[in-house]
Order: sequence, then structure tokens, then C-alpha cells
Amino acid sequence: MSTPDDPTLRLTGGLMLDERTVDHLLEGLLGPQEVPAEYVAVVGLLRALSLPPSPAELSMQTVAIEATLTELALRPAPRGSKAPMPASVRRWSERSRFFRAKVASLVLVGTLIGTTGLAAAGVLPAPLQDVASKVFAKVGISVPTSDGHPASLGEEISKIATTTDATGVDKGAEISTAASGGHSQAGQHGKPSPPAHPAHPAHPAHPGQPAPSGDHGKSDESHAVQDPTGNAHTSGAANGPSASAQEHGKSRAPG
Amino acid sequence: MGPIEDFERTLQAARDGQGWALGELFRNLYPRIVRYLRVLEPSGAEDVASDAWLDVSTGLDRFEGDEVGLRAWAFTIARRRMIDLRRRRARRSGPPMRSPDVGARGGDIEEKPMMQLATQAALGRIATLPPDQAEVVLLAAVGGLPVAEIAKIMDTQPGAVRALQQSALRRLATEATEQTEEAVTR
Repeated sequence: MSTPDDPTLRLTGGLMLDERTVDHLLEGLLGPQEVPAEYVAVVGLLRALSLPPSPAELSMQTVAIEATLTELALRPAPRGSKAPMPASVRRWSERSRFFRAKVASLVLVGTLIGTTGLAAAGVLPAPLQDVASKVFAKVGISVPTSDGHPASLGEEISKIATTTDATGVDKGAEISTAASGGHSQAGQHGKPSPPAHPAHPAHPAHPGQPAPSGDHGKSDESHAVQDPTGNAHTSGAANGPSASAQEHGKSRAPG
Repeated sequence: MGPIEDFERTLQAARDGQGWALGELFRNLYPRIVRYLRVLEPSGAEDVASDAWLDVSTGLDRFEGDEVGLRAWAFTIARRRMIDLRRRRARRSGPPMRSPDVGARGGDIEEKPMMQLATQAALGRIATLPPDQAEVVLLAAVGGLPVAEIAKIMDTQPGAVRALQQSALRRLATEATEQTEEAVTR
């Protein structure tokens, strides 16, 4: 706060503006002739702050509005809610959830590619990138979030777990491989094990026992481990919406 | 940035998810919020503003009030988002980083050719103020908010807001006087 020795008071002649003048000045309502001489330059400065937006400042408008509509469309209606659903959302709701998400994603893709191309360049503001990622995940397309993580891995794994023809160890291996991006060697029983994990030379494979997973510390989504009884457990899709991948990914090693 | 024509109708249409109404609200709110954040949080301005826009535009059914109330609500959300961002950043980087000096804040704004030159230059000048003074000026001049609303947003007393505004305006006037004197003596 200013004191009597404040140099700004001296420079402006110690002139205090009254509240009304301050309010009007900040609202841009006063012209240069209506303020003390020291404040003339401030008038122009404050008016410049509230000039109409430039086209560049509005360049995100289409993307932002599509993101809003997408967010509203994907939002589940509150349980027992009797509030009327917005008209545009209601139209979307009449279709299946999948189709709705697909329409939303296509609209969003068109918007992103057609007007800005920012999504492809990964330069969308983080919140809008996250909405895009969420929408694409609903239709099985993996688009990174603002953190760079694919959003749909869990769903992909879940799909493999429920549709593959493989059974037992083979099924576990298939899921584990997909979940780890090809790093996991779960289920490769009987095949020669590497003498040591390349990234962990002090981690020798156990001779005479089924080879453990080779993905130590590489993937949060998949862990193929062996319990003391020799059962290999492969869990995938830890972050996916379906728990079925975990159930189907379990396999029992041959005794 | 003038008032929204037929605010009640626009608000209701935006709640119904009508694109034209959301566009009207976007044009009225988003540039204000970005300008405010450009001064106070230049490195995260677009992200925080987009976050705030999504919060506002998808939460309109919870909002009750007039146009000034909507702006005040939007700035409250943007400010909270900005504080969240600073907290996250502080947690990630360990000990608190030194706040950017005013020159750096002003410089950052000038590097972004996003807005009209006059607006850009004006924001650069506001960025040379102490942050609390800059904020009360921005909320009034850019946000179009009265002192009472600014006090609520900043969780302080209206008297404190008025004092900050007086100090900010005097400082801006002083700097302008000094610049004029420099120009004359050159």
C-alpha cells in the first residue's frame, strides 16, 4: 500500500481518484478529457484491455464447443433425475451409445482436422485433448491423452480376452503379449529361456522352471507372474473398464 | 467485449446444448479468461482457460444468475483452476519455484501474436504490476466485474480491492509519466 513517501503519490501530485472515477476508468467509460492529466495514458491502456477479441483469440471456438457437446453427450444422466435432457443431447441419446460416441468422435475428428489440425499435431490444450482421447476410446481408437497415455488399451485387452479362440496358457500369453506391447514372454513354457533379462543382468532365469514374464517394470497394464505352486497368472487391462480380461487372462501352467 | 444480447434466452439455449448459444458464451467469456490468465499464469493460460470453459459450459444447468454473475462464476472457476495448476506444479518440482519476475511475465505476453497489438501491449503493461494489483485491474477491466464480485473471487474485502485498484492505477499513471518525461528528454 502507498505511504505518504510513496514516489507514485509525488509523481501524480498525491492525487487520489474517487471510487466512482476508479470504477468508470476501469470500465472504460471515461475519455481522456474526463480524467486528471496524469491518468490520460491509463485511459487508453485500460480500454485496450477490453477490445473485441481477435480471430486468433477465437480460433479454438469450434473445437471448444464440440468438446462441450461431446462431454454433455457422454455424461450419464443422474440416477432418478427428472430434469429434462438438453434437446441436442436427447437427439443423440435416441441412438445407441456406441453410435452416439462414434458420431461425436467423427464430428470431433472433422472439427479437429478440418478447422485446425491441432489434434494431429498434439497441440490442443490439455482439456480438449483429453476429451478427444475419451471419445476415441469409446469407439476403440487409441488417441493419447494430454499426458501421452493411450486411453483405450484396457478395452482392447478386454476384447482380446473375450473373443480369442486360444485357451489356457496360450490365452494368457496372447493377452499378456498384447498388454505389454510384445514385451511379455508369459506362457512360453518349454522354450529356451534367456540366461538373464537384458535390462536386469542380475536377474537370472530360473533353470528347470517355466520362464517368468520378461516384462519386469515395463508395463503397468500387464504382469505375468508365477506363484510358488507353479501357476502362472497373467492379468491384463488393469485400467480398462472390463474386469473380464483379468479373469480370462489367468492360466494354469502344466504340472 | 460488449454484453450478450438477450442473455436469458442465450443461457437457456446454451443449457440445451445449442451451438449458436454456446458460441455466444464462448466469444464473451473465453477471450476474457485467456487475457486474465496470460498475465497471471502465462505458461498455462490456454490449458487453464480451456479447462475453465469446459467446466462452465457443461455446468450451466447448475448456474443461476445474471450476466455479471456468469462472468464472476467463470472467473472463479478459472482462478481455482489456476491455483490447482500451481499446486500440481509445486508438487512435481519439489521446493517452490521463484515466481517469475514481472519483466519475464510481460515478455511472455509480447511473444504471443494471438491478440491485437494494443491489447497485447496493454497486457504487457499490466504484467509489470505486482500480481494482486494486476489481478484486481484485470478482473475489473477485462472481466467487467464490480468490486464486490472481485472481492468474493479473491476471497478478500471490498476495501482491500479498492486500495489495490488505487495503487495499481497510480503506478500505471506514474510509469506513463516517466515514459513521457524520458521521451521528452531524449
